Amino acid sequence: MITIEGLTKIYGDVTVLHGIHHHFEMGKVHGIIGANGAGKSTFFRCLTGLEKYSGQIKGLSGMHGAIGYLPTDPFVFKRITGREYLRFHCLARNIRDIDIDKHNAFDLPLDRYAAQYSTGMLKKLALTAVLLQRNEVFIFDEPFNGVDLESNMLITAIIRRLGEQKKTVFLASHIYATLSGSCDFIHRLAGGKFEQPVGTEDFHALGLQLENEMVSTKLDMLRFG
Amino acid sequence: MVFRNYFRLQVLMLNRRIEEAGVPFYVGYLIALVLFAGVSIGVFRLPDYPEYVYLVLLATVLAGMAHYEKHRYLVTALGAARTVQIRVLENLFASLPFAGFLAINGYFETCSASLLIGTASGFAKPRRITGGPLPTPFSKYPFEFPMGFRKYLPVLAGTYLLVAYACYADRFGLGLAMLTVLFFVCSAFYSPLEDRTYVWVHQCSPTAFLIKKIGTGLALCAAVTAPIAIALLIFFPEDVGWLCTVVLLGLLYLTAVIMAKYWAFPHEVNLMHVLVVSLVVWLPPLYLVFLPFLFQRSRRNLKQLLQ
Repeated sequence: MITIEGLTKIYGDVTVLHGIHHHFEMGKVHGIIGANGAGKSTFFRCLTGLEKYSGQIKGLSGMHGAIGYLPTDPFVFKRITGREYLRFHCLARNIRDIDIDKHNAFDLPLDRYAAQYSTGMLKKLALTAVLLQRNEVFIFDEPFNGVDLESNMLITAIIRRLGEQKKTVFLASHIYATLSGSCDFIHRLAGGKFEQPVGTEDFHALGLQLENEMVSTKLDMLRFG
Repeated sequence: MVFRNYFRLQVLMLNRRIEEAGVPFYVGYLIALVLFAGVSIGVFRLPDYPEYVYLVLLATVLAGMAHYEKHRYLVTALGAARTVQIRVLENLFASLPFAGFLAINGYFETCSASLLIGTASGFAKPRRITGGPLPTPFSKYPFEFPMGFRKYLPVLAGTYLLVAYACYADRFGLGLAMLTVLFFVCSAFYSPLEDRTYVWVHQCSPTAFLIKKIGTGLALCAAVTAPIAIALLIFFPEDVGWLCTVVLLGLLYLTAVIMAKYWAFPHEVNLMHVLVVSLVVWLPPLYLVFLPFLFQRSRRNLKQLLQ
């Protein structure tokens, strides 16, 4: 169990995470939803330890080398090839004897500069790196952004497979169908705090509730003629 | 009006960058001036061909100023002709201090050449990285050396050629100067700042991370400089003492640069870090004091990202 106790993150005079108390079951796929700026990426960066925070995150100690993190915008240098990017991420986890070509499921042009990749290709490259590292916990921040339909389906299948293998997955996405199709629980982050998690049996109801809140009421605020 | 606005913005941005490093901008200018003078005086103390080493330094600075994205933006915003004018002026400004030092030291022909290089380089259009990546012998050790090798290949090739000439013309000083340049170039490979995730992703302690970084850096730097050091040793066996001193200091300098980078991380190296590294360059015995200090500081700084 990953237990969050009083997690608070403040940037300047903006409090992004307001003393979160929450639990995440290990070995499950957790979808995280929330509006832009709700703090999903900040929460992920706190989970990884990339950001300083106040409060406590229990259950991940000693797992630093087993967490795979796919950021929203993976960083790549100008003069590094896709192959070198993957090799760097493997070496960082002391993985030396790996046939990178054999695991190139997204058919990426690995001998081209990664900086020349499109947004979707870059996402797929970073995802491949995270998968090659043989992690136990996966944090995917918007993995579907910019990827083509085929890869979209493949990524959904990858997440399902990770779930079957009892890996712990955190997944943020703005596409509700991808979450409801692959997650065990969906957690909504709003106002800097998590609401009660929703299990698979209530995904449909949650979808309708979100549609009502986010679409119907907002639609009435606009003028169409 | 356009030029005045452009350069005023550049100065404003530079001032902000200096102040972000924690010092008033005028102090930053003063420190930069002292550092530039220090490096220049050092170069002109070289026994052979200091003017050419100085030109290589100028060429490296000018190459570093050529950015494709910036060029494309300027062309879009101001048009091609004005972009060329701006780049010529910028590069000429950058060449002026070099030309000044060359003139002070009596190298008037090279002084003219430096101004010519400054002007001509402004006409050269920065190229976008296209086509296949340059093959590099360091591909298995990402990321500093593969990137640095690709970026600085012309400089590396130039130094190797000049060393060949030094051996042919019996000029040990030139060869030694090029070896020094090579250590500076290898250290420059560590200047690009990586994202925090590039450090966080490592499965090791801060100490192990630093040892791995330094170890890889030293081994690859030794691989880059070894052909030159060996050639100089074969052609100038009587100067083995000088050679060993430069190699030792070069490797220690690289070590200091790597540690200064992670002392400042995730921010760029600021003036204080540059001062510490510069200090140990000019007073090598200080290495004994500063290397443990730098190691300690960078280790402490990395603790948050590497548990």
